[in-house]
Amino acid sequence: MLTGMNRKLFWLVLILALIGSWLPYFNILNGLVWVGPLSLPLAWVFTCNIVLTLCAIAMYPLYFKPLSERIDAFERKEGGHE
Amino acid sequence: MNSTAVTIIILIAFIAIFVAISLRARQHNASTIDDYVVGGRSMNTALLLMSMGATYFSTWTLLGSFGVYYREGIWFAGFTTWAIIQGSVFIWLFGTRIWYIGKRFNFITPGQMVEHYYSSPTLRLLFSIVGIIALVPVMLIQVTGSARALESLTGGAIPYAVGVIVTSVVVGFIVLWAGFRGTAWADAFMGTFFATVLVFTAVFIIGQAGGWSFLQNVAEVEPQLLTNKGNPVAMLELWVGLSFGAWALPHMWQKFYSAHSAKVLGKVAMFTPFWNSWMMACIPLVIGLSANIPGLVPGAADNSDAILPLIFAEYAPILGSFVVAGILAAAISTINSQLLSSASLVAEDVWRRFFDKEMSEKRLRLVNKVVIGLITSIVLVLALSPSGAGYLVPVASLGFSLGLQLVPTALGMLYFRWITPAGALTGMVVGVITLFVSAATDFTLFFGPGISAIIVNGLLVAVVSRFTQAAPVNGDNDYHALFAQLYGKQPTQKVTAHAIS
Repeated sequence: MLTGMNRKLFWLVLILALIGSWLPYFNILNGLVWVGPLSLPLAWVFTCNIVLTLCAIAMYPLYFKPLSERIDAFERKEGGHE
Repeated sequence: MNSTAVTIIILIAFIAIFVAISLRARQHNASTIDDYVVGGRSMNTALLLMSMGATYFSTWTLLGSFGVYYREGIWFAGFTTWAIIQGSVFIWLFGTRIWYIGKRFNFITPGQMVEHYYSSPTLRLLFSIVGIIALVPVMLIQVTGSARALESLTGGAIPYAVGVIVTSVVVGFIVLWAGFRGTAWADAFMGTFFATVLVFTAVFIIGQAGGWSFLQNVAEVEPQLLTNKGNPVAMLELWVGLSFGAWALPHMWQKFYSAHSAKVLGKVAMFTPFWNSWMMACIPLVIGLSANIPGLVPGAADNSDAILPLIFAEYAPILGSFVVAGILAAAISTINSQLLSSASLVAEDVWRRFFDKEMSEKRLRLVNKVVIGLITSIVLVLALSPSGAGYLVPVASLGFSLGLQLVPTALGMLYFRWITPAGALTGMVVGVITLFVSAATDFTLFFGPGISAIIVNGLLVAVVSRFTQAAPVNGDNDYHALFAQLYGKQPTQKVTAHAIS
């Protein structure tokens, strides 16, 4: 149940960050304003990239590890049937 | 000793290291075709990560990408986001499924999976031919591109012909003798070297450009580069072409086959953003933008695709030899996977499948090696005859777009049961024809040739599949039922019924 919620949250965050990274292409968050050493659109894209990088890290426990366990279980079951 | 002599000595040393690493890796090879083409499906995280990264990032990363940021500014920053998604989410969506089916049925080429699922030798042949057409011309432009770069960076001391011969022979040698494992180790070495050069250059240039305020210094001269100029369609085309076209190309497909486990693929997906985006895409952004500061990189305005060599020429001429070596390494590490993949497609999907079904594994390995020699020779001859290469350069620019035409067929196996063999075949044939006609005539409908062709391809797949028979299920090729179990979803009634029928 908790995993299901986490996965939904994962995709929501990922899609929002992905859409967000495109905003400067539509002239949103695209002014020459400085956020620290970066211009606003660059700072925004990097922020989205950080979120997406965290999503990539979260994919391992959320998806890859359970898949690996399911494959092991499936192959054990198949081996047992043979 | 003059700088040319230093460059040549460093290049020879570099090639010697490259070959030695590949040959050392070869000692671990078992004499099976599985080991030769997909590394015995035993690649660990570090090797696969580096190998995938090195294959993606070619001489273009060392030369062209700096120039794009120099000219286009942060408009091209969308590329850094693409590099994250493509390297992580796509591995989950497509890589794990391809890997599992490959492991379960011992496939070494994408074509084997296509025929097994669709029960269509014609579709397999077509899938492989399109894959080969997508890869071989790209290899050619890598060879010619690196030879031209070597000639220009050494002031003609390494003539074009020598560059072509050295690149082709080294690639042919590594792939022929060391197979997949050797190419993966060569890629890892190249990647480490390449990354070291990039990091040191970035730190140095940021320091020269004013430290933390380097972008503000850029804005004083070229403020428009620090905002996004728009044109989302162009970036979308780049995303779609690179993302979908890349994973469906045979050499990337075989890299998925080569993973040791799902966990290895997961770790590769975790680390890829750091490698592909934060390292290989962001560093060219920093350096390319900084080069706009007047006087920082003399000559950049006239030759923005040579920013990295120009930096070394200005600040550390003696170290410029390492950039030359890096360019050679980048070309070799991109071509080697493509060469091995193309050869395996010809040997397995064409020769064994259609001319000698009973071929032994030993003989298949031999055929693979002969084909590697043949393709290397063809690339070498074409690269040495500019008129021959001239015909293939436009085809090479369509490489990823051709890969894109393979996607609907692949999606039929991995996700969409409703895609039929006739639908996939029709879509791919018409998609490829549309691509070539569109590229040759410059006729496009809003999007460029690649996207226009995939739209036509996808529409035809949908329409023809609606009226034709589904792929026959013969017991073990019901990938969808298998995926439904493995990916935590029970097969639906419809799926089960289909599987039984």
